[in-house]
Amino acid sequence: MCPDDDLAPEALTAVPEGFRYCFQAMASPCEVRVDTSDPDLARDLGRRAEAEVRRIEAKFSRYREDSQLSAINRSAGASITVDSETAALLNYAQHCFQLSGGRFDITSGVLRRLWRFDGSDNLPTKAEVRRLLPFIGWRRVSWDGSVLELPKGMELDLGGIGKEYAVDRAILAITGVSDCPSLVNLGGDLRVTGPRRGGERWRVAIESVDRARLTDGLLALAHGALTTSGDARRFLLKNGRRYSHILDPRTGWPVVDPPRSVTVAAPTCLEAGLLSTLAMLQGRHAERFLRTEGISAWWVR
Amino acid sequence: MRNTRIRGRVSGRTLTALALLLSTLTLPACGALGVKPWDHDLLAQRAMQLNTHPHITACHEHIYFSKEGSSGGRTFDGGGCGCN
Amino acid sequence: MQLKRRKMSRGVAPALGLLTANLLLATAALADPLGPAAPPPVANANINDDTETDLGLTRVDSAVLFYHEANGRVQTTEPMISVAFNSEDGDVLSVKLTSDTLTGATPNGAAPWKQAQTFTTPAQAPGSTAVVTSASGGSSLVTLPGTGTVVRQYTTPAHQLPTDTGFRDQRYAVDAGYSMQWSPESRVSIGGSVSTERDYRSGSINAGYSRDLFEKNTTVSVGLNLEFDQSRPYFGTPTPLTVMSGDAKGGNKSKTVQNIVIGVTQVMNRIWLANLNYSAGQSDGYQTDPYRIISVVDPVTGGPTQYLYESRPSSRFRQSLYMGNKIALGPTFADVSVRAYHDSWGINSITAEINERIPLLSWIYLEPQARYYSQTAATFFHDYLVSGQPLPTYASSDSRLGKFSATTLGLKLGIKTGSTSEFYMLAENYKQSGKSTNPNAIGDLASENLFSGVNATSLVVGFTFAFR
Repeated sequence: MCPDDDLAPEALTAVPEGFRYCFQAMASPCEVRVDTSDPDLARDLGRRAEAEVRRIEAKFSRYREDSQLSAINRSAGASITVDSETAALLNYAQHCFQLSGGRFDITSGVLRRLWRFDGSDNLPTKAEVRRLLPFIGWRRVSWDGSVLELPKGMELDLGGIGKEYAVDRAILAITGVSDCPSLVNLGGDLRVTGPRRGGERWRVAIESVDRARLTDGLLALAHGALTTSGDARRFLLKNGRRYSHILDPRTGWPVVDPPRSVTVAAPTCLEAGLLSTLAMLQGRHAERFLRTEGISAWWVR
Repeated sequence: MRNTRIRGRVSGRTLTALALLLSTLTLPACGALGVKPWDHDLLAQRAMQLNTHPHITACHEHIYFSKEGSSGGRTFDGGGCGCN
Repeated sequence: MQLKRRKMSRGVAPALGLLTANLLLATAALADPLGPAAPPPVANANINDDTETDLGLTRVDSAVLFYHEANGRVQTTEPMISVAFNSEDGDVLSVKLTSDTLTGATPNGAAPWKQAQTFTTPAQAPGSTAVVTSASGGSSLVTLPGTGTVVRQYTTPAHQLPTDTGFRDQRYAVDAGYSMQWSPESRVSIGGSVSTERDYRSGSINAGYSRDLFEKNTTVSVGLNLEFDQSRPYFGTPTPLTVMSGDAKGGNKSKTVQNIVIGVTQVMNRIWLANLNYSAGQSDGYQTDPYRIISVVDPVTGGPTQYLYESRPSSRFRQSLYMGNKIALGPTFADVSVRAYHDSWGINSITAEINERIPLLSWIYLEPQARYYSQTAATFFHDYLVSGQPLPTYASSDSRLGKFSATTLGLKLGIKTGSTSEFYMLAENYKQSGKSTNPNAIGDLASENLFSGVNATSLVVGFTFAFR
C-alpha cells in the first residue's frame, strides 16, 4: 500500500514484483501495481487507471459541486434526462435494491447528516431519525430507464458502489490496451487482471479491525476482486455498545450485531463490494447469508 | 419360448453394475468438477432448470407410460392410472 | 410505522454476477480519455436473461393436452392445473388437479383375419341388473339361444385390426406435495396422490431427501414411492387364459408398487448441468389387462379357433438408468437425455431425447424436440397362440409389450408475457413402428398386419403466471 501522507502527485516506484503507481483519489490512497520490467508501460497503465478513476469521481462524487450527481441532487423534483453511463448505474442500483429486499438503497445518503461515525457517543435521537425517513427510499424515486425525478429533499449517493465501479472500470481501461498483469487498489477495494507473470498470485494484506494489529492476514489472489467491509475506523460507542457504520435504510438505524469485518472475493469489484455490504446488512445473520450463497468470504466477529 | 437374455441389449445385472460403477467414479470426481459460486450465472437461468415445464413433462410421462412398456427414469415409475 | 421485513431471495450472488456483467458490458463502450479501449470480453449478455426465482411467489400453471390417435383409436382431452405456494425460505406447497376424458377404440388383442370376426363380452356388470351400452355403437345385444343370457357382441370387418370401441372414460386425479428446506444444504419432501376412474383407482405416497455438496455443485437425492392400485373392470375380472365369453366374471383385483430413485445432479462446468438417476421398482399383484384377449389360431390356415383372456405375471421388477443434461450453447439451451431400461418381464428399452431452445427475440423462443425409443418384447408376448400346442403360463398380444420402436417429433413455442409468466404450446407427432407383416406367420396371417402400434398427434397448450 502506498503511504497515505505526503504523496507526490504522481509517484512511480519500483517494487519486487514490478512497479507501483500511487495517487490520491476518492479520499483514499490508490495504487496500481503492474508486473512488468518496463517503467514506461507501468506509468502509462497507471495513468490510464488514474484518469478513469478521476473521471468517475468528477462525475459521480457527491462531494464535488460540479459533479453530475450533485446536479441531480440539486434538481428539486425536476425531470432530468441522464446519460447512458449514469442510466446504467441507476438501473444497476435499482436491481440491487430489488435483489436485496430494500437493504441496498442509494437514497440513504441523507442519513449522514445525523450519523457521524467518529468514535464518539453522539447518537441521534429516535425523533430525529424518524423525521428523515420520508426522504429515504428508492420507491419514491421516479426512474424509467432514461428520465429521473428525484423528489425535493431526497439525495442520491453512489458511495456504496462508486469506488468498486471505479476499480472495475480502471481494470478495463488497463486490459483494453495491455495484457500485462496488473492490480488496482482503491483504498482497500482491489481487483487483479489475472495472475502475475509466471503464474504466481498477488499478495494482499487485509486491514485489521483491531487497532493493536496492523493486518488481519495475508491473502494470495490470482483472479478477481477483493473488498472488505469493516468498522475499524468508523463506529460510535455509547454505554458500552458499539454501533456499526452500516445503516439499514429501512429503519435509519445501524444494523444490529454485524460482524466486525467481512472480506469477499468475487470476479468483479462491484460484486465483491455489494456482497460484503449485503452480508454486513444481514447483521447477526451475515455468516448464514455468506454460507448459503456460497460466497468466498472471510469474516471477523 | 424366447430366451430372457437378449444379446446386445442391456440386461438387469449390467444395469445395476453400470449404476454402481458410475456412482463410485462420479461422486469423488464431483469434488473436482463444478464451478466457483460466481460462475453460477448461466445455471441460474430459468431455461437451465432440469424440468422447465412440469405439465409438459407430466403429459409425456402419461402418454409414454400408457403406450410403451417402460416407465420411470426421470421420476417415479408408476402411472397412477389404469392405462397400462 | 409498520415495516415489512422482506427476506432476500436466495440466489443473490449469481443474479448479481449477471447484472454486473451487463453493467460493465454496457459501459465498456465509453471512450477512454487517453485513447481508445477495446471492449474486453465479459460474460455472455444472454438473450435468455431470465433468472427470476419463484421465492415468495404463488405460481399457477394450467395446461390442456389434446391427444388424438389415427384410425379412430384413442382420443383424450386432459386439462390440468397446479398451484404452488413458495415461501421466502424455499418451502413449497403444491397441489395439482387433473381431469382426463378418454374416448375411442382400443385394440382388443386379437389378430386380424381375412374374414370378419365376432367377439362376445358380458352385457352387464356383475351383480347388476342394469344393462350397459357401448358409447359409440358398433356393438349389439344378443340373446343366446338356450340359456336366454343377454351378451354384448361386436364384429370386426375382414383385414382390420380388431378393436373394442370401448367405453367413454373419465378420470380425476389430485396430487399434493410439500417440500421444505431442512438445512441450508438439504431438502426434504413428502407427497401423495389419488386418481379415480370408472374401472380403476390408485393412491400413492412419496418421500424424498436431497443434499447439496461441494459448494452446491453436487446434489445427491433419494426418493421413495408407494402406490396401491385397484382394478375394477366393468364386467368383472376374467380368469386368465379362459375362453372369451359373455359369462359373469370375478371381482376386483389390486396391486402394489414400491419404487426407489437415487440421483445425483452435478454442475459439470459453467455451461453444463448433468443429472444421473437410477431407479428400481417392484410391482406385485394383478397386472393383466382384464379386457384383452389373444387369438388361438389353426396351425395350418392361421384362422382363429378361439379367443382367450390374456395373462401376465403378478410380479414385475423394473430398473432404469437415466442421464439428463442441460447445456447452454451460445444463445441456445440444449436438453439431451438418455435412458436404459430393463425389467423382469424381459423388456429392455433405450430412449434418447434432444430438445433445443432457440430464442427468436427476448420474449419468444422455439424449441424443436425429437425422441427415439426402442424396446424388445416381453418374454410372454405372442402375436397369437397356436391351437394344439400346450398353453403357456403367461401370454399377451398387447403391442405395448412387443418389439417396436417409436419416434416423436415436436415443436414447442414459448412466449414470455411478463417477468414471471409464459404462454407455451407444444405440438408433436408420435409414431410407433414394428414389424407389420411377418412372412413366418402361419397360413394367411402372413399377409395381415399384426402390429397394432399407435400413430398419435398431440397438442399441449398452457399458461403459467406467478404473483406475490
